[in-house]
Amino acid sequence: MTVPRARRWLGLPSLTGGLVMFAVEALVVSALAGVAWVVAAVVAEIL
Amino acid sequence: MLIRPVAEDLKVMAFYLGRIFVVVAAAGIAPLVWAAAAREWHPFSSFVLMVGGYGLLGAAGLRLGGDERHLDWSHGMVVVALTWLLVPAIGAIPLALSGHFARPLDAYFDAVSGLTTTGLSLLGDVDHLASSLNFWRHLLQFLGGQGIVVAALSIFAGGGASALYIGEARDERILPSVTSTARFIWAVSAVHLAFGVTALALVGWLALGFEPLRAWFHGLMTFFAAFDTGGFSPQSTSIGYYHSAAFESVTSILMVAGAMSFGVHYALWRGPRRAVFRNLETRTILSTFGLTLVLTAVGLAATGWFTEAGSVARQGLFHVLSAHTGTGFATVSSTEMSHWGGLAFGGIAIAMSLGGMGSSTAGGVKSLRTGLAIKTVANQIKQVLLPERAVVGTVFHQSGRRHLTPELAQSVMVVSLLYVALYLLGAGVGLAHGLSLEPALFESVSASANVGLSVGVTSPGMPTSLEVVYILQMWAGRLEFIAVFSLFGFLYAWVRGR
Repeated sequence: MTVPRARRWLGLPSLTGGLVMFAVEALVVSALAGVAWVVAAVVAEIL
Repeated sequence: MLIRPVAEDLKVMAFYLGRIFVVVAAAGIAPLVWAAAAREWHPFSSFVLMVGGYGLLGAAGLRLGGDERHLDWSHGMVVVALTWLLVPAIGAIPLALSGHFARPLDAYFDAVSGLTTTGLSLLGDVDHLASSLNFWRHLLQFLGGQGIVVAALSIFAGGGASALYIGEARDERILPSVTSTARFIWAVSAVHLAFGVTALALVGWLALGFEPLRAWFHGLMTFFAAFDTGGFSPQSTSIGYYHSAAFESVTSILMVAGAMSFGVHYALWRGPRRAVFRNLETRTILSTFGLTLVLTAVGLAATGWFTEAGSVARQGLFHVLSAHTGTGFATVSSTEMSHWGGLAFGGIAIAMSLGGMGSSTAGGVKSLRTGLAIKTVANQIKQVLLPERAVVGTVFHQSGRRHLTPELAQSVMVVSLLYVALYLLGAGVGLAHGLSLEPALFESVSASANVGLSVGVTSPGMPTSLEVVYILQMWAGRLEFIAVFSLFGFLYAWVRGR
């Protein structure tokens, strides 16, 4: 089975799309890390 | 009146159970080969027994079942419910023979916990467990997370594909057929496996100074547990063993990926990508991630467990992600977590109960149901407050415009209430065993929502009755009730039907 045929069989359209998927996953975690850090810093400042 | 099942019903179910056992027997060859390669001969012989057991059951099922026939809805549900009880029974053999469990029931508990991707464990001295047995525990999570039935469907198409697929709590068909959807699920998992294991092994090798083979082993085990939101670890101190922000970051990305529905993976891969962020499910999970994170971080900062803001953020984020995605990894001991109390405890417990997205490997109520339940309650309040003739909007966005019909609202509220009832039932049993409310509720939610975080209740030597209740909670929570009720209905019909 050739690579394009294998990709079609598995339902995977393109490799770039896969990279976008990983980027979004990493972005979600980074954004939440930012939220956690801001909250922790604000509470520490108040206390 | 229920109709008593006849021999033909049993034959159909035996055929499909047989097929599934054949697939699991094939998967069982992997730890067998591992044990041979690692020259772990005691586990090797127990894996021979296990694969033989699966093979025998598979052959018996196929022989009894005869030719392939159409599997109807109720048969499919019963097959799935039985699969998730019987597969761990055979899969527990190598664990029970390892000498690391006080009794066979404890080994069965771990096998159910692995397969349901819960992560609670009664294993003693995990740090000295043979590598092949550790591999099998983690592979059970991978099989359970991917779905044994999905595995079978990606190999065999057949008349009962749809009933089996939905019975395993997956109702999202991404591609035109269930078989092609099952293949896509495996393909996405394989891509994550390549990325996740490489990234974790590199961190282990370059940052932590592990030998390359050891780094790869820890990477592989952690990947299975993170992407399939299982939570087992090859070390007794879980992810705390690594003391590494880089390792925790990669693990966090894999946990989030595991809690995303395969429909979202598909949309992010192929597009349209913006539509993903308009979906009610995505918006709900991002909001609840944020809310539970704020609660936990405020709680941790206020109690003074961690003195620096960076530590509060790191510990809060990792444990909220672990709880919300249903993984169950920890970087602190269960004893320390039991002392968190207050808002941090509440934030983690709420995150556990809500769970990940539908059709993912996570457990719990699931984000789409949470979003729809909130919308239903909000609509009810609006109807009371607005003039009688006012029309309350029922449209929501989830892969296109959809209507929150009364039937949909009812189904959402029923399943959500069943989860709450399951959480309370386990907590009640915990209270009856002399636990105080907080640990009883925490552990019950952790088992029912297939999370695996523990405040120390689940430990070797725990009461048998509580252990059995947690096993049933993990099973019912993973299958989202329908298949479980179908099995009970089938058994009742067998005894009392006409």
